Amino acid sequence: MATDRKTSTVKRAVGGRRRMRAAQVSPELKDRLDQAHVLRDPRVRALWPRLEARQQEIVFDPGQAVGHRYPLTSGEVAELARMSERQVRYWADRGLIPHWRKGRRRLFEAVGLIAAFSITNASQHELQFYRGVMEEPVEKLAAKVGILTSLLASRLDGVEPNEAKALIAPLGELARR
Amino acid sequence: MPRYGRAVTLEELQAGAGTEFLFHYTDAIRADAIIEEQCFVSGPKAARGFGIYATHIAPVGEETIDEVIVNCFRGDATPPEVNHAIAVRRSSGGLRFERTDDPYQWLLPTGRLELVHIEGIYVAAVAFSGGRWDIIDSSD
Repeated sequence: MATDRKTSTVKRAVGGRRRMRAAQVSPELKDRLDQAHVLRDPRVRALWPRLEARQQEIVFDPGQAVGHRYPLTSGEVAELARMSERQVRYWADRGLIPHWRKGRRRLFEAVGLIAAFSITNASQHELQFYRGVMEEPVEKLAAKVGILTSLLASRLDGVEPNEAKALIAPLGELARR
Repeated sequence: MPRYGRAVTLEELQAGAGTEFLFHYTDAIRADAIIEEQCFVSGPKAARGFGIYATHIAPVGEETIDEVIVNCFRGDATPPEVNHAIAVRRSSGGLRFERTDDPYQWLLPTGRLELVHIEGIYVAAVAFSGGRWDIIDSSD
């Protein structure tokens, strides 16, 4: 992989111990590292096992398909996930496909591709449900979330602890936000 | 300590695992950041002290990813979070990885969220793709 260390964007703070200094990275690197953080979100972790083997391979190595490592453009994600570029932009702008911006361009890391594949794999019915959640007024949404939470609580009876954890972890992450 | 007048090979990394080399498993973004900036950022949490964690588990095959997830992350990770390995020397200059009470984890002690420049200990970056591990960057 070609790297240009002369153009390092890390600012080396003055006055620290030799080789160990306070972290101060460029805004672009910070944006990318934020995406790495989202990759560890329980909501994203729940998506990974449901991807097809072929999709998991592409997430590992998009280079085989597009000729370079991450980040990917909207067009590349659209091609890989078999969506239109407009669909990618639609779901990205509504928060369902994690991404970061460089100027006006949306750029996607592994976490974005995992989300895009998950949308591709979703049924039309599921996508309509997601659209409804996005477009519903908050007061109506609160009622639906209440019902959904009750249903989820009832599903916890009799499920294995690991399954229960997988079900609850994304809600915990939401509450923290 | 052997000095390579050329880029190290995957086989050499595997043969020197635990004795000469250790491996810091991470995701594509963090691997890119480490390669480009030649530094690690230590984590905000400190299960065994603040610092840079590495293991002697060498990147060998597809099973390595599961092995790392189970032994180094207690199952709390998905494969895309650990499909890159930064190979480092166990020690160089003032930097030295120390054994922890966990047989799989070695620690280069630092402060919290500290930026650690790795000239000297950085050896190579390895990525899992197409069913195998390949070196994507190396110090020469």
